[in-house]
Amino acid sequence: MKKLHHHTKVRLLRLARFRHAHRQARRQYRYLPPARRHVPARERIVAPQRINLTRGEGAQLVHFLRAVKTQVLKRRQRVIIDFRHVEAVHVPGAILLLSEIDRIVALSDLHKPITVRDPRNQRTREVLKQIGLHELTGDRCDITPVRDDVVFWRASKGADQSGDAIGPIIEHVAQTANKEHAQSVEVSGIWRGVSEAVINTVEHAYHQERGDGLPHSTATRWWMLTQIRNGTFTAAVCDLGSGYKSTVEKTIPESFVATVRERLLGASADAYAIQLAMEYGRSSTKQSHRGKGSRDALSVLEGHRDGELHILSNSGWVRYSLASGESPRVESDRMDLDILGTIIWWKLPLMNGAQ
Amino acid sequence: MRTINVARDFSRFPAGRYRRNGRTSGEAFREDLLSAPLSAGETIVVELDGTIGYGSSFLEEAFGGLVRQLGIQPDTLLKRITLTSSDPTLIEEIKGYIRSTEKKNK
Repeated sequence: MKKLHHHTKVRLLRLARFRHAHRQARRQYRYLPPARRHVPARERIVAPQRINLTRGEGAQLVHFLRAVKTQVLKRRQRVIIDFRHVEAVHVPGAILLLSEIDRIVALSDLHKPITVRDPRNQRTREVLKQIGLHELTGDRCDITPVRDDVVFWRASKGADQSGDAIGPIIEHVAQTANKEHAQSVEVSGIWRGVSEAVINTVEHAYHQERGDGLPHSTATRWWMLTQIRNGTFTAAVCDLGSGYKSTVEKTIPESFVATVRERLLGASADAYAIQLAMEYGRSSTKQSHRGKGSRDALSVLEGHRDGELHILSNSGWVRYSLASGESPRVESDRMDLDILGTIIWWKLPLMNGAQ
Repeated sequence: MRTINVARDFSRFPAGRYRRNGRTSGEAFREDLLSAPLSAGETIVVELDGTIGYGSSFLEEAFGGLVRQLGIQPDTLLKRITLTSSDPTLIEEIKGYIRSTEKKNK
């Protein structure tokens, strides 16, 4: 065999090293067809473990939603929402998640701005499927919810007050609850509270800007969620408007405020406004025959004679609790977060006290 | 005498106040079903059973609105409308809206 010249050996060695390094570098890149080679990577945003607004868990959810909104609407970049580590989904958190994602998708001009990565937890995966999150984002999810504590989640949304959008859901869920539980849900009472809450969102919630620097999407103004779980019927209505405070500031005279000031719990301006609206019973149109809707929300509890009514508006909350034979108990406080909207939800137990 | 069944002739899910906010509103019910016969001098029976329920906005606009729209005195209106329901508190609530419209107009 012919002996190689020294310079040839060095050249061949350099060539071998170059080819080895090139092969190593190519292994790090996933092959993309030419049409996709210039598509920027999507930001991955991890959802909190618990989708909830109560018990101090709201801040994580609100920050997460703001991150998604900033990335999609302000930086105009697509995101992947990573739900893999989500362990629990509760109604107030779920309705805020649904409404915010719906609004972000509606306002974005990107094609498919949000992609969902499903939870590992089977129950939470079924809940997200059941409430229609995948339909909003255009993702595919082949599972069929079958769990008893999931199939009774129902979601709806709309832009007007028409009873046709809300009525069938309330009727179906309430009838199912009444069939399987000892204590009945008083459907007409729930209808009064839910339909009036929807009316209030359409009539009053969007007179002012929301405060997040983004235009309001006129396609949907309210979202509704109902659920039956662990012997409790829950119904929630959400809007992404300006909140109670901006409405009552314009309409309730100082003379009335002075008469009730001492009775109301004033930990937060938003909580104070909620209670003022409940007490005053007047709407933002300054017409005295209107505005009894706030009191209708409380009448749901009185009709059922048991349960809770929660109202969250911006950074304040008020809770009315009623147990059989007692007067409603009122609690109020401010939250360390601002949901930039209003959520009203009722929790009505379906079992009697002996169970 | 004309009989109007809300669930059959209008909607099983009455909700809302103004027509602009939905087809099942109190204004739509009043204008489409109540105003014409009352303006013509007829008496009507309104059957309230069969719907999922009623919100206060719907009831006030549908019935209290009759006093505002037609200018009928509440006492006269109450004589010409008969309300039937298995829930007597609902009837009293509607009568209250009609009478309170009188007080505001005075």
